Amino acid sequence: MGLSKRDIEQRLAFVRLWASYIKRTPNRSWSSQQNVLINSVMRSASQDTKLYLKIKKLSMK
Amino acid sequence: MDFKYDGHILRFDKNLSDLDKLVFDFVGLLEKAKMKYVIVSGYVAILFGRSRTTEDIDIYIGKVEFSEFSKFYDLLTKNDYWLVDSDSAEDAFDRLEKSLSIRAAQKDTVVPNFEVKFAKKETDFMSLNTSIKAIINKRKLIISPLEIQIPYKFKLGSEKDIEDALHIYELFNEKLDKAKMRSIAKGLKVETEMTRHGLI
Repeated sequence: MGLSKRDIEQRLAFVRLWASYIKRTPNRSWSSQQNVLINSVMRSASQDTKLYLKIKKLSMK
Repeated sequence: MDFKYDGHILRFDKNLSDLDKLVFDFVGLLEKAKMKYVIVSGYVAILFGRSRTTEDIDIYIGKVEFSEFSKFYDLLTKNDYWLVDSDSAEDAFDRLEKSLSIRAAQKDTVVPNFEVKFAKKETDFMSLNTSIKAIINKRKLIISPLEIQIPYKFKLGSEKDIEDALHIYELFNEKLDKAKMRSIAKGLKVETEMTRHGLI
């Protein structure tokens, strides 16, 4: 059960909105905001190798 | 977004994320080992501000002999990287020769990792041979041309991939070689889908 058409359109609208924001915003500003997301995900990511490889294998089936 | 782009070199400065720093570190080793490479897929959109992260960075490399690859392998191990799915240089090279990928990560981690493959398909070689130099904070990365990246993401077709494609398109719309992009879209049979989203 995927996203509804409306959900997809809303997601794409946000992608366009964020890109538009980046275009009119100084690089240091938008990149700082992006880095909060990226750095926090990197810090909290599970480093369980066995689990990672298992999920990769399952997802390829 | 303040940048300069002439179709071959794209320059801009930004605050680097931990992911960016890791990528620069890894490609530094590729360069040291004189391996021809190109970064493709999700990270390219993330480099330009896409609001997501990734657990792997996809890289195509040019075909090399084992002797060259083992120099790169030695550099990886000396610089605290390990191969998540290979036990040795021979094992890793064997995987590459069989058109499988190898995944390199920093020691004691598994994500993010660098998924490295030999270029195999026509679009892989196009990315490798007509790549763009991205100069960020005066440091260099080699990335896929955006005119290939966008249709290729439509070909992959997931919601995430289409969002990545749209993000790049929205940022660089005025600078894209639209004829080239249309030609690649035709070859990948995604022209209709890209037209539906207003990109062609």
